[in-house]
Amino acid sequence: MDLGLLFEGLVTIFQPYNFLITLFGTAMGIIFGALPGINASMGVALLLPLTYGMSPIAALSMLLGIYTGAMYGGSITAILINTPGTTAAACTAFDGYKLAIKGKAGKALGMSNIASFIGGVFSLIVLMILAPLLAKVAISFGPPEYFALAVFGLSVITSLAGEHLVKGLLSGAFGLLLGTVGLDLINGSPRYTFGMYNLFDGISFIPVLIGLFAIAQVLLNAESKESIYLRTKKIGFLEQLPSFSELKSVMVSILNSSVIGTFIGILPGAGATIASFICYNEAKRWSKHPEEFGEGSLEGVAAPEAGNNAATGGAMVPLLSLGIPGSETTAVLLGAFMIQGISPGPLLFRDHIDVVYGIFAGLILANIAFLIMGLISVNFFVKVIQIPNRILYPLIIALAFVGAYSVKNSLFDVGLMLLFGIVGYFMKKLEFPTAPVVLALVLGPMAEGSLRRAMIMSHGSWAIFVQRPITLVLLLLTLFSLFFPFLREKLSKKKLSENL
Amino acid sequence: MKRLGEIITGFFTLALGIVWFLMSFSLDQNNVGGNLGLGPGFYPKLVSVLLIVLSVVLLISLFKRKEKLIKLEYSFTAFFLILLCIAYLVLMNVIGYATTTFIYVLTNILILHDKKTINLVDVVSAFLVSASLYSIFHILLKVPLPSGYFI
Repeated sequence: MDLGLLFEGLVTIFQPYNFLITLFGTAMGIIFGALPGINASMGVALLLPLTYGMSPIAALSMLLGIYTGAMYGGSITAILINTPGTTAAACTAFDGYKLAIKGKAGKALGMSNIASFIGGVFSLIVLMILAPLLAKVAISFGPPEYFALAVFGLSVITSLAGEHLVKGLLSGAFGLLLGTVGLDLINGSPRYTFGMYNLFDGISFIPVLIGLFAIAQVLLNAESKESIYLRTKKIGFLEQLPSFSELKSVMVSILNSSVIGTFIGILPGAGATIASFICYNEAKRWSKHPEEFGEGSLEGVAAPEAGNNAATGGAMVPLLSLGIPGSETTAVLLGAFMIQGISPGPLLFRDHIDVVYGIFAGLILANIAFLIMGLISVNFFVKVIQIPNRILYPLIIALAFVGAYSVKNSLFDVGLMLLFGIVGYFMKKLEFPTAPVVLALVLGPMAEGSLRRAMIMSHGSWAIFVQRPITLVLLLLTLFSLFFPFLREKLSKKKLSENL
Repeated sequence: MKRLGEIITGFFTLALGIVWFLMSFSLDQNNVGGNLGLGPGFYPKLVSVLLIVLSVVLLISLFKRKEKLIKLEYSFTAFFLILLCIAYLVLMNVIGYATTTFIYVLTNILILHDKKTINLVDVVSAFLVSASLYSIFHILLKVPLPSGYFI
């Protein structure tokens, strides 16, 4: 971490335009997060098109504002109506809603906000220390290492897939297949373009992303006609502030969760949702009052909220320093980098260090912004999210249309987005995860390019992948992560049969 | 659970993989780089074989299960919305972005409305959505949005 550069980043971020755009992103993030059925990745994908004309720092700060804001925002509906706005806030509902029933909604919201802030700031510090170090190591990476890294990133699909391993892998393979469309990376001959010039650059990433994440979700949501009705009285500012003794009683949980959340965020494939569940369980295990969990414990609100916000900073570590997205939202953020014409990874730290520290500064601002906005204007957000679904859904679709269009000013891309919206709808209906498609579409061309460059380097010998230590380790880790789910299943079956 | 849609998906990806695999053979004819490294057809072959294998695994696992085949309930709402989106896309270039967006949003509200009636709030929101998207993207961000007979 370079404090001088960080100071410069802060100066950049506090320029009026950058400052306001980050605040806007954070506020939108809180709204997206609080709206059930819209999560952080969808929010970022939807507002991505607004960033086309922006500077990289403004663009990334706004989108990171959405990401962090959504993590806190999810807890608002979780606490008030027992419907988590994002899956990452599912645990917050356990105790948050109980507190709301007891008339302590304000206290729960305030606790969620403060815990989110501490978790976010902690992970940000880890990000600022760890990412430059990791980038320094990665600067010596050649094509074989990048191939191994991409393959490792792809193996993440198994963990993203959850229960349906084969379905997740199949989604990933489908994404890889889509990634082969377009001009050949090495010699420029067209592949699978079926004579369409629009496909020469490959299947555009942004339309696929918006289609799979936004359109598909809206189509699915529209089937169940539930609007949210919040009948709560106004929540005062002072009502939200925890007393000193309350803060003291949850501090250990918050700090523990910050560490756990950050670490889980760094791991590819495990994002904010998993972090919040683990943090909740750990907090319960180590708590002095485990019996209060589930009955309205402040710790039960603080732990998952600190955890899910801590995961945001953690997830940025592999994205910024290695250029590998480990989760849905970071895959979308990678798209934002691509629009700006810069690719995250070690070269970002060498060539655009100002952007890196600008992003750090943007994250600092976003974290402070949701803390203050949450405490002061939670009533405003509660009001905004009561927009009826019949108006919200067409708004989202219209935004998706214009967003997909403005990437290249092409209606072909809009059609592509719609197609993937329909594909995504059926995938979601049939419980095929959609995130692996996106991840594979990004990492596939990277894997192929580095594979072929590595083979040119080695004059056609595959041995290059086992002779280089980092490559070997990464490929072994890939094998392990691919077989781990099978192993786990076998072990648990064995245990089960022993117990019988 | 064993669903008809899953079996269809399995066959679809299987077919896709086979088509991709067969097409990959013609790609290597373009390989001007000679024998250095891997040709343009190598990686697509690898990926399509992966897709074929995984499709077969999925299909086998589905057929092995002795459960009854379940048909999923698909609602007409999603179907209508998809049709509406296609119409929106096609008409955008004919009528013009802003007008089509207004009509689209209003129709979509009507489809999602419980009582199938439209009140003033809906009309105003449809207007606000199209007007604000038009001003943000066309006027502020200078995106040349499709225009037709109207704006």
